[in-house]
Amino acid sequence: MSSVRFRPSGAQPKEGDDDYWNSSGFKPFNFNDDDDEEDSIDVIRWDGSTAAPIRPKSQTSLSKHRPPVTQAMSSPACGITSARAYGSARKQHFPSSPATLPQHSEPMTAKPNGAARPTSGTDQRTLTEVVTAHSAPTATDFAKLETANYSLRRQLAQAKRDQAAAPSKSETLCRLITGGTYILELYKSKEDKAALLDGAIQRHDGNAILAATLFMRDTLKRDLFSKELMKRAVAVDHYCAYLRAAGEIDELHETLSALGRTEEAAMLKYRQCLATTSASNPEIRSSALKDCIKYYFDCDLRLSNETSAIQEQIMLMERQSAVEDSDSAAEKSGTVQVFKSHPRRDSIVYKSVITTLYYCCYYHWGEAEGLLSSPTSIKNQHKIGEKQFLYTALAALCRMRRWRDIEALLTVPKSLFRSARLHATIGFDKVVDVLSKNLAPPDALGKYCAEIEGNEKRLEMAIKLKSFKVAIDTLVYTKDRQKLMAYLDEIPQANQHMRQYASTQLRSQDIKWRN
Amino acid sequence: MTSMDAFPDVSVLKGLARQQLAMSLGNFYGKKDLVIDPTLMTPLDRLTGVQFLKEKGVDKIFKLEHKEILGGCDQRVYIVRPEVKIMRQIAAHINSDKRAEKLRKYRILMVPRQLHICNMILEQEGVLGNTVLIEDLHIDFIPLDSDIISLENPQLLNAVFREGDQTWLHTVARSIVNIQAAFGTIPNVYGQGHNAKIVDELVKTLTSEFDEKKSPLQHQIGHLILLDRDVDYVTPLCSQVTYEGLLDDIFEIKCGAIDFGPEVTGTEKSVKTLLNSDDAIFDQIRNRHFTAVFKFLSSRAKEIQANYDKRHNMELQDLKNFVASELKGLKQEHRSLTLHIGASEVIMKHKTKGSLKKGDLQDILRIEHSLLEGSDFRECVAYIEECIHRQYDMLLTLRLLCLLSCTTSGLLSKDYQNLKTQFLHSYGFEHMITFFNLKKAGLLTEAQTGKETSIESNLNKLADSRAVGSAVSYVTSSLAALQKKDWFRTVSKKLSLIPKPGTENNTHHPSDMSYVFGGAYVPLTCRLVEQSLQRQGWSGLEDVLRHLPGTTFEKQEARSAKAGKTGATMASKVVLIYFIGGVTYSEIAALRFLGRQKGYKVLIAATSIINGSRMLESFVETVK
Repeated sequence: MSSVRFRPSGAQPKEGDDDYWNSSGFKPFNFNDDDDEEDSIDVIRWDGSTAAPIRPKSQTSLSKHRPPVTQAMSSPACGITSARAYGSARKQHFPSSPATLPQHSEPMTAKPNGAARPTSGTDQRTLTEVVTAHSAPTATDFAKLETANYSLRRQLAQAKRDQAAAPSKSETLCRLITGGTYILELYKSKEDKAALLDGAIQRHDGNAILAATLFMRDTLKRDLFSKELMKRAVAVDHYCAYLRAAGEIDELHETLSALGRTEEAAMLKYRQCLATTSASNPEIRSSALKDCIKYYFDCDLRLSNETSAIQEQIMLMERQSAVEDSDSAAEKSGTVQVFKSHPRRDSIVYKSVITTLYYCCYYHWGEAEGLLSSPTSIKNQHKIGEKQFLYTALAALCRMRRWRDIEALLTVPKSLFRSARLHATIGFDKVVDVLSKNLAPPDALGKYCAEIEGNEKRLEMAIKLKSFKVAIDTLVYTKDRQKLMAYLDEIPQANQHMRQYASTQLRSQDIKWRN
Repeated sequence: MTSMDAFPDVSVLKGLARQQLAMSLGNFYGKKDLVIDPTLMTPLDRLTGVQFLKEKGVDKIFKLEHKEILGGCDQRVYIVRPEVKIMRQIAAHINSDKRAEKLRKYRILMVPRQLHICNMILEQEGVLGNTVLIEDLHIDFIPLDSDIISLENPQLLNAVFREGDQTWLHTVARSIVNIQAAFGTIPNVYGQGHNAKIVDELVKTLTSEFDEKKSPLQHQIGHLILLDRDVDYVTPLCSQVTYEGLLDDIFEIKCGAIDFGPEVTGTEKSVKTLLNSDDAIFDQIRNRHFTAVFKFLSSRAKEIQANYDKRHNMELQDLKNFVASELKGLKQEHRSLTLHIGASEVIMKHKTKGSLKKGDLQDILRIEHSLLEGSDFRECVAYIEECIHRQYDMLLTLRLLCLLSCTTSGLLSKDYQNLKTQFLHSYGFEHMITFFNLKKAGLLTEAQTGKETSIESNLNKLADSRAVGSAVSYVTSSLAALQKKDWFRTVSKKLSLIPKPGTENNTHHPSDMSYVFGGAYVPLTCRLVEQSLQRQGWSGLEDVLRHLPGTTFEKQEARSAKAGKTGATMASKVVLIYFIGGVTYSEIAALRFLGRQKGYKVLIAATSIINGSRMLESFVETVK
């Protein structure tokens, strides 16, 4: 389209050559135009504004319309921050094709132009001059053309070779790191592959490390790959992370086993076992876990603790399953009172030991040890400590409002030399704390509050829980009149009984007050 | 203050990120739907709004989930993290569209860059083709405040410190390259940690590979300090007691915003509010020790009341001015004051009453202080047992367990097994995987006593010999580093992290960084920052640093070259501290305090903002 415009303005119609080459000089420019349109809006604007003034002048010189091209080219690469920021996204497609094209076309346009010049020059010379000039340079011209031809051929061959041969490894790694396009398949030798991986490790880019590792896996024989991988611990880490993310569990297990990381391998299998059976019933899971122990845990003595834990887990599941079945049946039948007054919220299957114990303390307190649902049986089987048992049982019984059972739990029976007394391995301050946090009423608390060892602690707890009698008694015991007088104000008017009690104590003659 | 102007304006980064997004969306002409990775929702929210997206031709916005997206137009943009799981989900979407013979064009924008495996997965799933275009969306830092920038990438902690996967370190390095492009090349760099070293080298590589010329800009930041999280796991494991820290521990701050529920607002609705220095009231209290917050709030409430009351005896003209200028500000302050008083009340409740599953904060603080000091070991173990027995919140129990292990350089075998057994009974056997994960990350370890039974040591030897190759990977070697006997004790003594008993700490007018933990402990990371700034490097600290995990490095520019320029001297007082693996609000408060005390402008960069629970959460096994 541009050439049409030029024709009338062209001074010499004979200069078809010039015109041809000039208009062909536009070609990279037009091409570039198209290319930019695809790329982004900004570039269109640049070219639109720059291209307009150039068109009329374009005939004058080739070099003149190159600047806009290079300008468009160079700006993504220049150091300005904003351009830097969004330049890189475009970089990968952009500079590769159009950037090289104008350069390629340049020598081509220049050559014929140079050759044409002498002919256009001859117009002003005489005929003889033309003849002599024509005959003389042929040999040198030929030689020149020959060399030009040779160098072009060489360049072509080089270009062809470039396509086939891989770019240098550092170039490929650079492209991997900066987000350019790369082709790993060009590296054929094992050494190249290994060098690629080593280069990636040296540059610390996880993406490149993994890309090189996976390329090795896909193109090397299995045992060769393992051998190369095992030499590089960092690559192993990346490979394992990938396998985990991609869910290639078997391969991951094999790799870890080969590395001697048995614990990790066993954990992986245990996890997989749980994940695949989380929706299945306990029988299926327990048989899967038994297999898991047999194949992955038994072989390593260092895992004996884990092995016994999983065995415990299997026993627990069997118990849960049995208790769950009988309880849900009982609930459905509607004959058992406790399930009506305290409906079950959730199935206990796959819950922890202590949650199960809590459940059994809640619904099955006092059952004989022979039954699977008996709290004592759980305690013995899983070797639950006295303290932990007490915490759990207290909370459950408190929620059930079974005060008498709590008292029995905390009472050491009468022996030959001692009468029955209250005793708690966790200390009565903790007993009171557990009970109060499980919303026990004050009168249920008072009794245990009084048992707290240590006057200060007892007083503090009694005041906090508004256990007035215990607080008053403690103050009397410590003979702290001032505090008792102050405390009197804190007892609400409604509680006349306690206010009375405090006043009586204050008036009492038997107490030797400290203050 | 004049130097305030020199403070690097990090909101520039926000503009750049928006520009990126606008470009990517603008290149995809016409109406399109947006599908966003759930983990990117809040960060994107911080950068843009629905209005901005609508202007860019976005029609509907979906959250990326496993299930199919119904409806939508014929063009769709995914904005996602480059992860295997997500690629599979996208592939499932595209394949189901193909089956339904729905013609759609897709663009997948990967934040912050596409990875080899992602393209590989998409290729394997058979969805690559003309209709699917994959692009990078270079968003790294999200400015959360004028002095906090975060990558908001919490999964980095697990990937880098447990799995030894360095992929995300590229992002960290890239973010530094971008910072330098915006604010000039930072002349002095100090670092501690294995990953910090890698990042430093990657920054060099990237700068040269991107053919980035040395930034012509006059540098605005004088120092960069790079710290690995595993240098100091102790600090994030402690309960926070600054106001902002408590808000994060109790309500959870997400990407600089918080959701106050009905218990705070006192109404039925919950209120979502941004927490940053724009909120004048919050700016005043965020860094304070909690005990100093209430007093400030009540005095401020009185002032506001007084200002409101002014209008009663005002002339008409004055009243007009008052309404025009002051009233809006007062209303805003009033609103924020109400919220913060409400929040403080809830915090108080947590602190004194405790609950069925949380324990009393006062007890917990007492135990933490003993652990930091290294006193009353048995009492601490007993309390942790109590937590287990009472089935307190699992993350709380784990946090104390890890703190016990980190401060004593690993538990004795007997204690470890005992606590582990009880833990598994209380919280479920599947948590033996959690224990394994924590062991691998170096958070909860069993000390090597040296008195191993012969069978065990032989087995270990056998296993070691089977591991071919001499190079030991970092994840395994870091354990050895942490197991150096009593390293925390040594370091805390040498850096005097625990103030001597008797030095009264005034939480209202602190004199020391330890105030962020009620005068009990100076965060190790913050002490390192202080020391490196004071010494302009690590010289003289070798004795301390060799006890810490990872490598130490420093890079300094000849000081004489830049001296004389006024800009350079200003910049030499600006410091960027980068936490690889996350930073806590307590550390931020301590560093702000340090900056005020020593006259530094402190800028904090992190891969994410963490607290004890969020840090441990990434290691907890979730399979039931």
